[in-house]
Amino acid sequence: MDLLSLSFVLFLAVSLAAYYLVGRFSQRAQWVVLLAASLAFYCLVGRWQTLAYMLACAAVTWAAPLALARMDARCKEERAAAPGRAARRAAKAAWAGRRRAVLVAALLACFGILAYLKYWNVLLYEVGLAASPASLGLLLPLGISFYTFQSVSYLVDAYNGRFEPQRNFLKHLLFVSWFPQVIQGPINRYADLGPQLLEGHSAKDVPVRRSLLRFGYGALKKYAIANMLVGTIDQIFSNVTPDIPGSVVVFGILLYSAQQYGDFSGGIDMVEAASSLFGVRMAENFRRPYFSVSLADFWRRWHITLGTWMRDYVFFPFAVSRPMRALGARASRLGEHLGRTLPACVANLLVFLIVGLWHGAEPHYVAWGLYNGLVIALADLLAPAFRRANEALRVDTGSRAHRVFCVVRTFLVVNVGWYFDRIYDFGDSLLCLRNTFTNFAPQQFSLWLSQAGVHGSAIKFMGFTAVACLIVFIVSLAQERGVDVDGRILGWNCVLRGLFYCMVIGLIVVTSYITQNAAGGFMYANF
Amino acid sequence: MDDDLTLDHMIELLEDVKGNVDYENCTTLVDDRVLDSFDILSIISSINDEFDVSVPAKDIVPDNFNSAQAMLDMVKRLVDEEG
Repeated sequence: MDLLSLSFVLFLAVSLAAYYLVGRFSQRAQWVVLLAASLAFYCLVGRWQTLAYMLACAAVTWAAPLALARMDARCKEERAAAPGRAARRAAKAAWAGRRRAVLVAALLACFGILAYLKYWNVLLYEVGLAASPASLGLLLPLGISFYTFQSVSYLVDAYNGRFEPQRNFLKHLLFVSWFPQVIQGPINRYADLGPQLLEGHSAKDVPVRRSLLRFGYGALKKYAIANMLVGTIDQIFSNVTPDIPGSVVVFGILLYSAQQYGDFSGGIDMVEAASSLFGVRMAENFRRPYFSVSLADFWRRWHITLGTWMRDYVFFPFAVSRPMRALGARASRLGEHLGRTLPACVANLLVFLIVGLWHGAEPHYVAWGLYNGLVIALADLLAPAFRRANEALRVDTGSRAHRVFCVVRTFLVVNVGWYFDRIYDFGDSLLCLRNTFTNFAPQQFSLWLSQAGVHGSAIKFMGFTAVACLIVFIVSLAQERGVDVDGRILGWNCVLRGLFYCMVIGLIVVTSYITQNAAGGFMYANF
Repeated sequence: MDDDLTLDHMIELLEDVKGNVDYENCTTLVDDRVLDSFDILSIISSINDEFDVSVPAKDIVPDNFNSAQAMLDMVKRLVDEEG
């Protein structure tokens, strides 16, 4: 079911009607409609056979926190009955060990299912024990990485005592399966999303016009940018040869940077809008990442919920672990800055290795992850040297020109990373990177593109994409300056608004027609 | 030890990690991204050195780092727990 399809509109309309109809009688029962809609959506969009995996993940992350809560209560009882301080400490230590064992067992169960379904076949293929990365015929459940990570965040937060665990399994299942998030995230947190799903809402409180505007903006990014470019990018990178001109590679990578952003952030806009029609606000996942001033800043703006998940459940726990603190203490003998930053740099490398693996087990994803981790680590380690260089060269780091320089520099650094992300063979990634610098050959650009099957009509149609990119750029620039773009558009007079809507809807309709044979779905649905 | 646990001392520690921030009044240091992950790790390292207390990963949440006062409260609580 495409998000811009009659079937999805019908599904959404029926779900909304049922939700607000039930709300007229009992807001406390509205969540049941959300659960029914979510399970129906999962069966319609994903494969119903894979529903069992999501149910298993939900069951584990529902039962383990309840067991932990019971263990907490038992621990308190034992400590209260203990004869002295030593006995109290012993009881606390014993129960802490049992609690940790429950947590580890639950984590192994969740990540075990994910690892088996997502990585096992690829791993066997990489070591020559499987005919292809999909030869075992394992069905990859829709959004498995997203709901697994979201469920694990619930589990760990409950372990850390951040909230009372949910006693009702079906209510927990709704948090895991909420349909707008299962396609490609965002990875929500229970403390933010859980209460909203369960509290019930009235239709009059829903910002319908803003939601529809956001849905349209997302559709523009998805259909007029991402879908329009995906075919050309495939043609460029499907058969990389040693003589591929660097100019063609750069063109393909730049298209990919637009396609990837259009696909992922456009899809997120659409599902955020769908969720907000039910009065449920999900976590934001993008904040104009191509305006970042450093790679670290980029990762605070791109796929934000994966970044915060990694920060809270990998980066901090690892960086403040005893071995990392010892490493910091040893490194501080060589300098205060090194002592403070080295543990963070090592933790960062681990985070980006996992981010790479999260995207897939193939070597090019690992290389992409490590590239990001290394650049960020080096930028931090060398920060004092950069600061001294700026002072020596009298660079005004607060000026607008410097900010523009940083944005352009970051865009280039991000795009080098896309070589490893998009070019599916690691050797080809390196080849393309080499040719970018040693064989740019702009005179071969047109000939090579036509030989790759990119014909004039595809280039001509890119005019629509250019218009859409221009709209996205202007909107993003205004948002960067703090302008409430949605509010401004909704405040325009009806003629101006009508013309604008006609242009955007026209672009979406025309580009949907042009790309009707292109691959549907979202890139991140495969993760 | 308790004599060291003052707001002034905490602000001094924070200024050593990252200067040019209004630690006396700002209550959204994390929410407004004044402090990033690297800054927080540096603060944790300084807290460890200055107050001889470890900040466990479960306490690294925005609420505990959004203001100098919140960090001071967290350190006082951790000192009490360790004692």
